[in-house]
Amino acid sequence: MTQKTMSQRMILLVEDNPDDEALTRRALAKNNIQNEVRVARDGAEALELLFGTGGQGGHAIAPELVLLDLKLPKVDGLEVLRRIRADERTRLLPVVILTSSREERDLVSGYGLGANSYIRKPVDFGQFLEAVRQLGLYWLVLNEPPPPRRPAA
Amino acid sequence: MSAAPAGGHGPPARAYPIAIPRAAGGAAIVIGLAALTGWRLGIAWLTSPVPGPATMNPTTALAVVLLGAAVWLNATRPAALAGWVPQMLAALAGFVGLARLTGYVFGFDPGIDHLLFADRVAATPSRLAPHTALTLLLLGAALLLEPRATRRAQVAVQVLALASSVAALVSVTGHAYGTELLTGAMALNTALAFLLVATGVLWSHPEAGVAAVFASPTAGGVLVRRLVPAIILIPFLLGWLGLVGQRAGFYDIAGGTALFVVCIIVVLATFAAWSTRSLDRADAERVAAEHALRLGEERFRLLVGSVRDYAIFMLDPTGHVASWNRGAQQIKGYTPEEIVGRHFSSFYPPEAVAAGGPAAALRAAAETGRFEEENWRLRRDGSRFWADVVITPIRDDRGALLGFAKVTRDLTERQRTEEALRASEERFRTLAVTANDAIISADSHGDITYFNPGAERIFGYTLHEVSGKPLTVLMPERLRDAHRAGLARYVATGEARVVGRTVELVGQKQDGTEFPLELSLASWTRGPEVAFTAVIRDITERKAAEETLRRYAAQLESANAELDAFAYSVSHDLRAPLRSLDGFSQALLEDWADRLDAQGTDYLQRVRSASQRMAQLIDDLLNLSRVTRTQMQVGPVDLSALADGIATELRTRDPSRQVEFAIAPALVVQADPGLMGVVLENLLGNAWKFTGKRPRAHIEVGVTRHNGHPAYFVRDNGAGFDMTYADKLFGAFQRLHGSRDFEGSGIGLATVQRIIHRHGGRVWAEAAPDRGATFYFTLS
Repeated sequence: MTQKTMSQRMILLVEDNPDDEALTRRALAKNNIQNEVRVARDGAEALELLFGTGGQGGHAIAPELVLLDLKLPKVDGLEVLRRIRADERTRLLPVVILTSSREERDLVSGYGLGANSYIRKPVDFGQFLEAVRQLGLYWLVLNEPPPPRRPAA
Repeated sequence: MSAAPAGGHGPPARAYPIAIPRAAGGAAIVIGLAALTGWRLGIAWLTSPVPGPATMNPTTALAVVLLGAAVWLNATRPAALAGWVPQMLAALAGFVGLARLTGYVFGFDPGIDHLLFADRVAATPSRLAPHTALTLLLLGAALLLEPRATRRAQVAVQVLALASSVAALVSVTGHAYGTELLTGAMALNTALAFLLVATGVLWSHPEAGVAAVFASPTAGGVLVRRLVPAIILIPFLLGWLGLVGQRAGFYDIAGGTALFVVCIIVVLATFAAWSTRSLDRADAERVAAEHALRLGEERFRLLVGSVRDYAIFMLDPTGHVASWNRGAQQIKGYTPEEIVGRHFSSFYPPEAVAAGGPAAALRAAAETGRFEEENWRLRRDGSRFWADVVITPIRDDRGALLGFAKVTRDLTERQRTEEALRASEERFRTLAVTANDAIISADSHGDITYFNPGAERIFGYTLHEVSGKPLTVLMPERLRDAHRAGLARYVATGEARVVGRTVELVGQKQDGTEFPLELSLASWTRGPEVAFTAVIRDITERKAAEETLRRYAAQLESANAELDAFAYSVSHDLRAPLRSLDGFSQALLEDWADRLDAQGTDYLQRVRSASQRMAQLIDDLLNLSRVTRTQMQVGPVDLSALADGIATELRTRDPSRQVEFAIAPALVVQADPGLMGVVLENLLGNAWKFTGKRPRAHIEVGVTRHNGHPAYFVRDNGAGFDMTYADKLFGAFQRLHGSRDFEGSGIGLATVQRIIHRHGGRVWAEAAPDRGATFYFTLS
């Protein structure tokens, strides 16, 4: 884990495909995005991390941004998004859907459940790199995040 | 009115009252017999009822009996009696008078006076006075002539009878006034008997002569009935009273006569005034009645005259037109001036005239009282019309033919209507008989009244078998109660659940098999009764087809769902490995570039471009499937604006190209906007792509007409293609150019075709190698 400043909070990457995880990390690195990246390999793990319900008595993390794949084992991405929006602690958390599909029903459901962005992963890595660069610039630099939530009781 | 009945057809003379002649004749017989009895028994007052020398001679009495009998028989006419008997009796009596009169003229005694009771006659003495003999002769002659019908004979009878009356009246007066001067030695009973016989003769023909005047209902008759008795009785009585007063010495002759005259003047004047007044009143009534009658006749004439739909006119007895109404003018075309006086055979067609039609019609009308026929008649212009003709004879109240009334109606229109009705009925009957569907009628009880051949074919019953049977025989047992309840409810309340609608039900054939049917039920009223007509179609085949269709639809739905799931999976999972291929190849190229020679670098580049092409293919395939999977939302789409937008995007993407767009304005269609966008993207993208090697590329979007429908087109001056392969153009993955020349998946035109087909349109292309291509499409 790299050292981080208070303003460089972590990114939660919800992604079950290790290739995609590696490529995303590479793209972030290539774009000099230094934030810590926590990876959840399925929806259930993502929810445990966010709400501190993990088995090993872990506490809830408070990422600055969630990059959410849709097609996930156990609990799918849309369900994860629904629970994030349903919970008072994560209601305002920026969530960017980052997935392969651009099926209309995914778009409609994603935005319907309160996704902040919907980005399709391009096959061309050059385009992917560019997409991640803009994403990082926007959400981690330009965008004013909502005020940090009060520590969980 | 003539005195004699007309011809041999007149009404029987004996229909008139016979009471007066019979009573008069009988009374005369009684008087005669009384006198004879008096002679036989010597009773003087029977032979001479008043004091004086005049007696009724026995021969006179016998003659009186004969005359009375003749009158009585004439009036009675017993069937068993020969017609000549009364005349015989009259002749005998007349002969007695003639014989005695001859004796007086030539101065001898024919012995007539002494024929009966000679001793007593000689003792009295008694003889037939000349006066009596003459009257006997007159009355005998009158009775002898009476049966003869000629006018002269009847006039003679009247004169003879009146003369006898006068002779007898003179005697009666003489007796009343006690003067020998007038009695003429005729006994009073004789005179009375003669009066009776004369009255009987006069009244034996009450329709003619004096009796007719007395019996007449006219003012004249009234006057005669009142005045004659008064004229006879009043002077008679006053004269008698005057005489009695004179004899009693109340006044002398001059005074008596003056008194007599004054009295007569006063009484007769009073009587005349009274009669005149009542006559006046009667006359006024008559005038009023005549006026009313005339008015009625005038109204009737106007009524007949104004009737336009019926020709009503009169014919004289020989068939010549005597009157003409407006309807006749309307129907037949003649004005009254043209036709009155002409023979009515002008209305018959020549062949009917030749066959004697007009004469036969008049004869039939005269004999039977009415003639009616429907036949052709001619108008004035010679055209024919179908007429209903009624001819009625008109007779006076004694049966004499005055003419004919003819009423004609033009039935041409009615006949035409009837023919049209027949034709219409025939048409509908043919319709019902030839219809493939079952057509069944039923009455309000639900009993079958009609069953067409279609019904026989569908249900297997014949009309004969089901006629009068309840409709329930045509349905399975389980539906019958519901049917009965529904019928009862409809008839009672008019609440319709099936009537007026088309429903699907189950029917039962004669052999018991059930089949699905479609029923259209209508009700109508025939008088107070409700009736029903059902049109029934056997829908066994349609049901089967519907079932197949439903199965296909279900299969299609499940296939679509599968396709959808497949596409969703493809869209997520097939692209991820490609990203890895591309991403890690790129990583190798970046991070291990120093260990790769040129060939290694090239191979990695090939892996990358293959991955990207594959990703494009997948996207295109997903687009193609989305085209069929998405719901269409049809609305107005501005193709011109869409094309402008796409052109701008293409230019932005590749600003180095020199491409001239010519897009026709305001191309608005009814279609799904998203799908039309895909169509234009593909067609314009192709045009852009295949004009890539033209220094001056030209792309045109416009509309032309194809088979009367608008055909939109995208035209370019690009590479074109050989029309030999045009059939492969719209198949998925079909490419007419190598990837080396023009990149592409070969899915774009397949997508376009699918969208156009979904809109019910057609897409096709015209091209030649190196001469450009034009893609046309139509929308339904």
